[in-house]
Amino acid sequence: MQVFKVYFQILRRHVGQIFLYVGIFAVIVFGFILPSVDTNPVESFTAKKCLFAVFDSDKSEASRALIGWLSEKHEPTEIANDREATVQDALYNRNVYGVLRISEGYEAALAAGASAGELAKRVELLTVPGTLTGELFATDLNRYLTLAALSCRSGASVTEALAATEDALQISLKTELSREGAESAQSKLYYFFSYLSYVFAVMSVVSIAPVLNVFRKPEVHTRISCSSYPFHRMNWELLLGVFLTGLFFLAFFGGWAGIVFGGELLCARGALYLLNLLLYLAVGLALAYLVSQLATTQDTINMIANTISLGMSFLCGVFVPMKYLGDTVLAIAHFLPAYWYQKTLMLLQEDYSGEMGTICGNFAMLVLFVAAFVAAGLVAARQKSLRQLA
Amino acid sequence: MVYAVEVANLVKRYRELVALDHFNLQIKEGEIFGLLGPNGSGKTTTINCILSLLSYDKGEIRVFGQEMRPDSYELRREIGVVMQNVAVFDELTVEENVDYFCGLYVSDKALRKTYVNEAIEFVGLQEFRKFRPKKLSGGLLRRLNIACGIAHKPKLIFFDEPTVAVDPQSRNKILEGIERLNQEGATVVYTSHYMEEVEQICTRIAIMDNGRNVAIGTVEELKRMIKNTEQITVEIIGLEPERRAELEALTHVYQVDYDGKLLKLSYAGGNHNLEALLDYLHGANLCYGSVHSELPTLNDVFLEITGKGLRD
Amino acid sequence: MFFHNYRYALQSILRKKSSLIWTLLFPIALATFMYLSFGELYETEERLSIIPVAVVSENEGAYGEFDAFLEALSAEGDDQLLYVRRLSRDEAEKALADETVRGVIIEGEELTLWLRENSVEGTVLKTVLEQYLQSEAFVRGLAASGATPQELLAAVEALTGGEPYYTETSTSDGSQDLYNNFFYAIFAMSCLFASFTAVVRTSKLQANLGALGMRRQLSPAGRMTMVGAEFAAMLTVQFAAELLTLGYMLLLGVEMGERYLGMFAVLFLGSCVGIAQGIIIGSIPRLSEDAKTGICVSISMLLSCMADLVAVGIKGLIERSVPFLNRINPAALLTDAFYALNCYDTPKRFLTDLGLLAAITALLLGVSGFVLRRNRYASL
Repeated sequence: MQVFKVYFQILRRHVGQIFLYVGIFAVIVFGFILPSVDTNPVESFTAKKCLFAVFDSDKSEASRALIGWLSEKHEPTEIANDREATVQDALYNRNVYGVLRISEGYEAALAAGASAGELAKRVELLTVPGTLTGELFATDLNRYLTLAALSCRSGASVTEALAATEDALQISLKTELSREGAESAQSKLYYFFSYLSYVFAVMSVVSIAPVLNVFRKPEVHTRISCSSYPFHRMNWELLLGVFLTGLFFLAFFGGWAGIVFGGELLCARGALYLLNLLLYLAVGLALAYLVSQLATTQDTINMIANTISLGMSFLCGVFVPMKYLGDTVLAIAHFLPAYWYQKTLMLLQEDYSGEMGTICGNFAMLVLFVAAFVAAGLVAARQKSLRQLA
Repeated sequence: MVYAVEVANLVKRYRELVALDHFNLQIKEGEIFGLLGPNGSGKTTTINCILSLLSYDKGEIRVFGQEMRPDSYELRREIGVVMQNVAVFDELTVEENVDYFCGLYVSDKALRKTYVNEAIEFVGLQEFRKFRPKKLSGGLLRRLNIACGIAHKPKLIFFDEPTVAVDPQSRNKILEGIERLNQEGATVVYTSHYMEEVEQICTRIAIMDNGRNVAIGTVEELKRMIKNTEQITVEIIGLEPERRAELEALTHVYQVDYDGKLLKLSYAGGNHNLEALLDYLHGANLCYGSVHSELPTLNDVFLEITGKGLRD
Repeated sequence: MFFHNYRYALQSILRKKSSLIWTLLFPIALATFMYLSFGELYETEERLSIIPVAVVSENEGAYGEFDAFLEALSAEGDDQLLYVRRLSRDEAEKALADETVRGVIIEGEELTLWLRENSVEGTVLKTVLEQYLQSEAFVRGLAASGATPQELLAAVEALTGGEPYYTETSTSDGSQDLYNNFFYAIFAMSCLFASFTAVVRTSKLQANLGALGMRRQLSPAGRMTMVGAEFAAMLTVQFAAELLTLGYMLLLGVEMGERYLGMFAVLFLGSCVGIAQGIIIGSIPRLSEDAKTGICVSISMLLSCMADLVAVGIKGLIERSVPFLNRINPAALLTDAFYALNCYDTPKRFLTDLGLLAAITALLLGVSGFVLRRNRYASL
């Protein structure tokens, strides 16, 4: 078991990088993605709410009423101040979609039956023009202001006008979701496993490929070939090493998922999640083998690993949900293993009983990718050894 | 007198280990000076201290009469170094490598071109000008290493074990080259643990052990320092123990060893020792096989001075 | 002497084909993947565009005024909001299912809106249509309360006239596409990855790191000249790679604004930071080159991920909780400089970022210079 032993001795040097990606995964998934997952199923129409902030200098009955109504329709939040740069950053980072400035004299203008132009001097909306969210918030703001101003102009007192406005705004349009529109609950399990595909791909390659690379170095390779150690035994031991590394990854992340999601995993669905992961893991290991045949230095291995893993994650719906991806992208994604992994995950989110055939098909695709990567690696190895002999 | 290299009372410690222990050395201009010693005796440490690569705890180092410091740029211009490990750029060709290193010393382009060509010819790499180091064999690589170290025509050249792992052909070429450089006026400091090489080319030798300079002189001077002048080995079987006293009584013999098969006699002085021994053997009617006589080597010198072999 | 060193350093770097190709290829490949996956997401998902809707009339004549309203909304022009098709119920249902329309308006017993999913676009549609209903009710209320025809006319005009009752202010003329952060992060990552080359080159500079360094240190060439030349050569290659990536992204159509000089400055400093990082890590003695590369990768990836490389919003999260981290993370500074350049009219923020980047570079280079200055070593 000499080769096997050395495999792990070398692998130990890359543990730091494995930890790095585990850390990135933990922070992003648990600190960032899971907290924002909405686990309630969508069955009926609910209006989208925009985050907004208000800076009210008028502090009047009218301004409070406006803010109150907007807060019902949307989601008030706070930002540090209304300086342009702060607002811009908040808008850009989507912390708010609109920032409202109500200047002093708003109520007075309203009471005086001011014209649209006059009132507009008192109410300023900072937003990203031309965006849907900006438009939504602006429309709501405008309909309120229009009605309130008209009521006042028609002779009502501010209090009456505000009441009338809110009355009128009670009227709503009956809105229904078509059947396909209803979405089942988003599952946290899905996001955990989805993100895992990025980490698995990059982690397998950056940790395993450099180790395999060592055994591929002509000097080492020749030395082992010359020893009494059977050649096939070296390969088997390396394979075993790679396999165990993979199993370790699987056990680690599987265990992690088990601890976090508990019972959710202990069912047929959970088993399918894990099986899917196992197959994807095999893809990652095969990929590591292929990369070890293509790249010789640590820096190229890293660049290749990151390009492939990040690229696949973008094209196959890990970082950007698949429903947003264009047809061309999805067509390209068919040629990438992460796509099939992701497809299964999406099916598992819903009632998958009728989709077992598709799921098995996806699994088969992953197996095919494993075979393809290994075959490509073997071809590359063969080419290389031929070149060395020549 | 101005020495090419002058080291006085040099002490270098690596934590507990004393690598150089009040080491003294004077190398005259025009010499091929050999530093001989087993691995770990402090040869490379000495050179690295002289070159100001290593800091040292005590002592004084002068090169061409000037104190050697890390920023002695003018002094460095006169020095060439050929290190134990090959130090070249893998990405550059033979010619580019030599030109690069030469360029660190010589700015004049035209002059450099001649120097580079001369250096390449000097080590016999003309046919490999466009080769990258990876394509060169071990011996050729060593020669490139030398070319890079000497292209700028230094007045003082350090060779730190330049022949380690080199084939005999390349080794001879290297040694010849060093002699030629010396004839052209360069002072050479040569370290090795191959005593034959040192005997072959060095005009003066210092023997080092445990960071100390245990003996210094020409080959002949060194050999004269020791008691042994000749050793005669006789193949003889079944020698009676009482004969030992008779053998020890022979003129000039100071030591007798016998292992039941080979009889070794060590002599201190005397010119006709073999004859006297053969006379004794015939007279005592002893049967013997082969007989051979050896003159002392540097190894014997080392052995006698330090009590251990050079290549232990 | 400088040029001599520079020339050969450049030659050495350019001849390491595999590293060179990947230095160039990987940001370009990543940019391509990113652009393919969400390059148009902002346009299609966040920007307001004309919304195609189907109208199903099942109660002829009852919706005359409403139809006029729809017509007004779908009149061609800058503020066209809707594109209306009149379809039968079945056709409309089908059109909604395959997303050729985003909503279906049923003019039946009562006005009903069908949507395919809960989306902002759907909410906009609902709000706009609702506004009509509310205005109608309001006018009816006015009439009932005995308003004069003139007053009513004025009210209708005000309600449909479209002059807004608020001022809309845009805080920036630049692209507000948050996904741009991904592209900025590519630059951050590739700049920091310049440290790989720097690690390798540094080990060839120092006597305590290898024979080559020893030989070079023995020459009379000035130490800082040599380090400077190495740095300049690496910078040349890295900066060129960054410029090519930038050119490629602009060709792809990533909206990064037009302040090219500013971008050059960011990329220049970014390359400097990456190389300086590599030099420092490279000059750690008694560590294998692979281990140093490993450290470089780890640091670079960590910093890049903190600057939104794998999920947009992390940088914002850090800004809200530990803003100091964003001020010292070169990757975050680099992405922020790009953002400021694109979205800010005033150069203060951009210059602050640039200044911090320059300070970090200077600090790293200062430390490197200290480490790399010609020195005697205690051991080799």
